[in-house]
Amino acid sequence: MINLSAMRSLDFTSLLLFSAIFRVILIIYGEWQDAHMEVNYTDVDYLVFSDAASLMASGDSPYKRTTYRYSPLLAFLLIPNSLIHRSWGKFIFSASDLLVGYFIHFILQQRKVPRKLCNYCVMTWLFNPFTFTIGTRGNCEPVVCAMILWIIICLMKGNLLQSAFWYGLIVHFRIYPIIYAIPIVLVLDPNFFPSDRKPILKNWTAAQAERLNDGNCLCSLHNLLKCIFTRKRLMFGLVSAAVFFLFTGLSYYLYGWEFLHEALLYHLTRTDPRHNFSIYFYHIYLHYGYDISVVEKLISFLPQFMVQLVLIFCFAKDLPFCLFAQTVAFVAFNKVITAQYFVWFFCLLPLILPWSKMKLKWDGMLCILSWMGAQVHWLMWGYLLEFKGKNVFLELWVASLVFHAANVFILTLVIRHHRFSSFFLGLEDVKSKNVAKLE
Amino acid sequence: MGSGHYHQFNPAPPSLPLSLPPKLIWSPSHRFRWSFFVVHSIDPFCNLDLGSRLIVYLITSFSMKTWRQFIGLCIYLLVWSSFISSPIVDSANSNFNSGNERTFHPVKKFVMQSYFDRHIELHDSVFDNFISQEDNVGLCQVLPENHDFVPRLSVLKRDLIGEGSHRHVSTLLKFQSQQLESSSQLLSSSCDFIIIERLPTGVFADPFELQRLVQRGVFNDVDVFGDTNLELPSFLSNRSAVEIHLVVDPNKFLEPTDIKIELPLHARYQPLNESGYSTVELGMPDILVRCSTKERSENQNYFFKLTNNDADVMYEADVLWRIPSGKKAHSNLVFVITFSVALLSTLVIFLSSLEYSKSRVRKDSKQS
Repeated sequence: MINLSAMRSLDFTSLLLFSAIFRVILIIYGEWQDAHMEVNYTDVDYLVFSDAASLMASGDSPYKRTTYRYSPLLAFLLIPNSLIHRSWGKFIFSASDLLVGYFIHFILQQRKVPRKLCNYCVMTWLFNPFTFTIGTRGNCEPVVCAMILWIIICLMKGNLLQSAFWYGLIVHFRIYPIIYAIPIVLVLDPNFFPSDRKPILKNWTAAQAERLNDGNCLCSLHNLLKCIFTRKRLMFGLVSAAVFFLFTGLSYYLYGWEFLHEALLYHLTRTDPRHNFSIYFYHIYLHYGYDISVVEKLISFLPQFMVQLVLIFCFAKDLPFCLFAQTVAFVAFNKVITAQYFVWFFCLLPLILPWSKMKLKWDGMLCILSWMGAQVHWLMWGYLLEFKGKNVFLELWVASLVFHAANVFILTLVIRHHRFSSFFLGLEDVKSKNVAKLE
Repeated sequence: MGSGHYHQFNPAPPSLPLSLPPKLIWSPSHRFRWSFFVVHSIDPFCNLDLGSRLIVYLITSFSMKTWRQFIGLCIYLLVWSSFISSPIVDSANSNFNSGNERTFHPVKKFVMQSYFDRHIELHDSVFDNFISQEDNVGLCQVLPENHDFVPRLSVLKRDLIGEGSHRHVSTLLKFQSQQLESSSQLLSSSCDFIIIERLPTGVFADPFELQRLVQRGVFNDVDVFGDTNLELPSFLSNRSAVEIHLVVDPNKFLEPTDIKIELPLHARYQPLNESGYSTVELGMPDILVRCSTKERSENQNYFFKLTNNDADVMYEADVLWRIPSGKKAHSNLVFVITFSVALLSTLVIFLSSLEYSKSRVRKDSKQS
């Protein structure tokens, strides 16, 4: 159906324009469906944001709205919902969505990825059904994704202060980017970020293997311990911590203990027994109301912690891939998984695709089909439980184990097919490149 | 009203203020007459009671010296009247007019609000006590003499519609036809059906969903009282109650008529049960009728409760909801397998990452 030659001549601007028009149509359709059908197109969360924003507009605390568990910045962003039109928020989120597409294109262009490949990668974001529904339904995740990509761009350009500012802001907004702290600090190596000039990006090559200069990941740990307190790392850490505490402190000053409890502590101690994709949900439900022993808490935290550490120390130099792998693992091992979390790694997927040896046939198809298949399987049992009232808790739990297995399988497959490519060029690389050029 | 004085001091008839010269100083009687005019013109907007009227008369009479001040006062009063919310004023008015000799309780819009002002949790025995004490509910109103409008219930049918965790509980009320002595009295009144559903801990109602129903015109007003946490499982939450207001035109009761109310409810997560299902029972709703008649431009409210002790009313009311719940027997199995799978997948990722890094080192050492 798709005309391949027409696709080749599509340039990025027309892709973006087409996506924008498509999203506007979806938003208008969403308004129509809300008004005329029983099932709403708009997400329940969007109504929560709007209510909180209108409370804030009238001077009240947005936390008076139950289940509002975000930073007050989000309510602030949505104040025009009550002034201009109730779909203002959806337009903002869809615009962030398109901005993510633009950032992906920019990053890939900077790394000299060929245009055709670049466009295909951008299409995996712009035309991904998850992403365009999430923005048009009124979910705030596209804003988070846009900020993360902007942080990567700031690092690419060497604007450390700016990247630290946005990093502090985004950790205040959504707690999960804290897992990116260590790889970012690792990448701020004096080797990559010398004091006199901006960092140089390593470009895309069609070559199969990459020269490894300084040994494997264990060696870089040694390096890390030797020179962890470099100027740039300290600056990044201090500035982002300061920004985080500034915004958190301001929100605490305005909204008190309610803000701390709802927006921060809830996410850290959240144990939701209601069914979701996580493997832990049934265990939490069966033990709800009972005291959880320290050993149990440790056991549930340990897998997550260990996986994050091993991924960081093996892949930190290839920053986009490290962030992607970390996010997939974080979501898979989390105590609660909802569909909106998938967007967190979908925005990083186009950044690693050009370096993947995986072909669509048949490894790629296998990944896509197994992931979607495991999801649909889970959704089927979830439907039986919630909408037909049958006791299928055990089967639903097994389905979540299958989904977890699918996630881990895909992650290992992606790792195996990945062509490691350092994000920045180290000093030795630059020297050897110059030497090669001279010769 | 001082018209004698008026003729003495001011030969011109009281025309609209705009025709008066700006600096005219009014006589006290003139002022008094105009203040009367002001108060009665804003009366339709804000139903002033006698006390407020007196105050306005006094203010206008003694402070108005020029017609500019008069215009200013008019504007001020009109703006003020638009901010007065009618329920509060209505209730104050109705209480004042009922001629009640007992100490009056301000009639709240929602009956359940009065209950939850005094009690923290919903208990059946306490609530039954509360409802039967008439003055809590506002049943202290003296029934007007020629009222004979008491809807007679013939059937009360309850049903649970739908499947799964989100269902509707429907209440069907069938009324027999009314016979009236004075139909003129009936035509001028409106009746508010107040249905109070006391929900068990196993289910809850979503207040936001109910507000959307109000916006769509399904009910006139709804509110949820008690524990409105939408997320906690049932053994950690308290009971809640839903109060629905439905305005019905009493003329409908001249013939046999039906009223059907569907309330959307959601199931909470239930405590663990050996059989895998726990049953929640929904009791009978309390139905109160609050009618107000307009006689001689004053509102009169009266309440009565639809009795459910009538022998000839047919009740079909066993509403049982089977909600799936976890089985305690699964507890250990789930614990062991969940954490084994987590550790296994950690190991898989660990091994694949390390193997990948080692293979890179091997490749590099082969090349160099």
